[in-house]
Amino acid sequence: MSNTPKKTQKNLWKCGKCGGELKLGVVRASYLGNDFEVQELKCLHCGLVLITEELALGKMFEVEQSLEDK
Amino acid sequence: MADGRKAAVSIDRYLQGVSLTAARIGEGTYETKLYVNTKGFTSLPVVTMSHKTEGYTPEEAVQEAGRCLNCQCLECVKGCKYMEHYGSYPKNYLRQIYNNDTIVMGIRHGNKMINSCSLCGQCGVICPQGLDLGQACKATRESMVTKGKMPPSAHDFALRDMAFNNSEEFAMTRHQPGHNSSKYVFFPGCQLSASSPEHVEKVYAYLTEKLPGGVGLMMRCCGAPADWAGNQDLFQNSLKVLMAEWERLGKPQIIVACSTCHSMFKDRFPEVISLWELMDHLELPVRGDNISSASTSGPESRTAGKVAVQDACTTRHEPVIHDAVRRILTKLGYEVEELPYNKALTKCCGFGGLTSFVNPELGKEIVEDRISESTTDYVAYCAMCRDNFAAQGKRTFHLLDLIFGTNLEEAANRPKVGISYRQENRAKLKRKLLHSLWKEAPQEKEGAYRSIKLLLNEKVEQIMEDRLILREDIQQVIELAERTGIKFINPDNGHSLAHFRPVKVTYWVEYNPQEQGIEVLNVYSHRMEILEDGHE
Repeated sequence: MSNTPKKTQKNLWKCGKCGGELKLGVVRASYLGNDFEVQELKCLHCGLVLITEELALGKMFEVEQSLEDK
Repeated sequence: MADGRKAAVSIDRYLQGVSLTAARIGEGTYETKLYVNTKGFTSLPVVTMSHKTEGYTPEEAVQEAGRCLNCQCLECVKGCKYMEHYGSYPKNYLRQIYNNDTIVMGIRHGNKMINSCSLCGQCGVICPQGLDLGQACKATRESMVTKGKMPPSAHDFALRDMAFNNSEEFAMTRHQPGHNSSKYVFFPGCQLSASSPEHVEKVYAYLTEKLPGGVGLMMRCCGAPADWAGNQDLFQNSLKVLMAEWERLGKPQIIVACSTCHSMFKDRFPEVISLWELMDHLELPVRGDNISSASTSGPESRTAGKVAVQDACTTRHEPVIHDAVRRILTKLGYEVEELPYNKALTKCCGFGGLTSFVNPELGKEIVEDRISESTTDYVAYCAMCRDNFAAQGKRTFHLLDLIFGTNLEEAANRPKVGISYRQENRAKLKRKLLHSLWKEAPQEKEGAYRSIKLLLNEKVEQIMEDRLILREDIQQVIELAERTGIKFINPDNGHSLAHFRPVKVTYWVEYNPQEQGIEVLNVYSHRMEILEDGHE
């Protein structure tokens, strides 16, 4: 998980389930009993959330690690 | 000088108005427990004062001070990349470990450090006082697990791999075909079975030919990953199943090919014997190649059969194994080169204690350090040592490569077997042995995802290796996405991006279906859970 994420352009994707556009929206996330609300890409129509590589290996990984050390 | 210091302390105490006598231990000269290696230093005479009544001149004083060795007790740090990596020494590490374990609120900054030690015991052997930092790290890991404070990501992959090895996919116990009792049982271990399953087949054939009374076969995990991870419940439960299987075979003598298995079993099972000790006493198998393929520094400077021995760290206190390995090599015609840290002082390859899972950067440093100690080809008798060295470009044989002696040039350069293929090799080995030796029909594996053919290039395979993502994880993501339509589409290139969370990790795969299979373009994962409806 420590390697540098591949740089990808944002908003390349459309929802494959309903064809909806993706926009930043409030997303609820949880780890080790801690809940958060964060702004992430999600389908405006069906709510499917996209976690990008940058986010998963960047900020999200950092938060996971610090919660694990609490 | 000591008197001067004593006087200064008295003056200071007097001026501060505190006791002149309380707790004045360790003043003046006394015998220290610290150790300084003076090898390489030559004794210099005391600088004589040119004018005795006036004391040293500035030049003389500098010269006299230059005799000081600036003593530091750091022998263990010099031998250990882990201790060097964290930039301090055991006394400080012990304090950090204690503080980390006793903290009530706040961040446990020492978690990664505690989980990065390979628990190999080298420091305990180097230290004249026998201080083994690994013992403190292991006890603390156990304490962290008990308190529920072990970071879940630290050993997750290794423990899931252990679960695979104890599952029906790999685990099996049988008497030798045609026998209903076993005098011996061969326990090849999961890493040899993963790295070179063909050696397991050859060794088993050899043992059944050489040993009378039936040689059973037991394939599963010895439990070391759980022990190293500080998870004693898991370790004891794994051991309990193993013990029951061994009793079912009639308590045969266990022959182990893996040094770690040996270290786990030796105090728990009677008469455990290492394959090397046994082979040293038996007639060696006939080899399929000659010995001249080992080289000292690459193909252009070839000499006849010299190899440098990498002793497995889990044999540190097993001189019988060290000697057996060297005798086997001598019998095979090899000249043995000893590495600077060998036998009881040997260095870990970074697998021990699960270091390379917790701290891959340190794992690489450890290997880099070890493989730079000699340009001679290495020979290891631990499959993980061999694979870890090979992964960083060091020509390394497994001792079984030399014993069976086929395709030595290929064996020295054989790349490390990646994480997905390790599991696949184990599963295939079990199916092959059951079919060829026990004439049992292999069990069909469940799961529609297994039939998905993946097209993986080297770059993606490396990403999977670094991020500990298995082929099976990718297949499951794609199967779910294609079955349900839950995925994202890139309208420009038609790529799909989908996710799946089997248990505690969400895997994401970018892929593109082709005629020959599914081309995988990228994979990544996270542990955090998304709680939106319709997402997970």
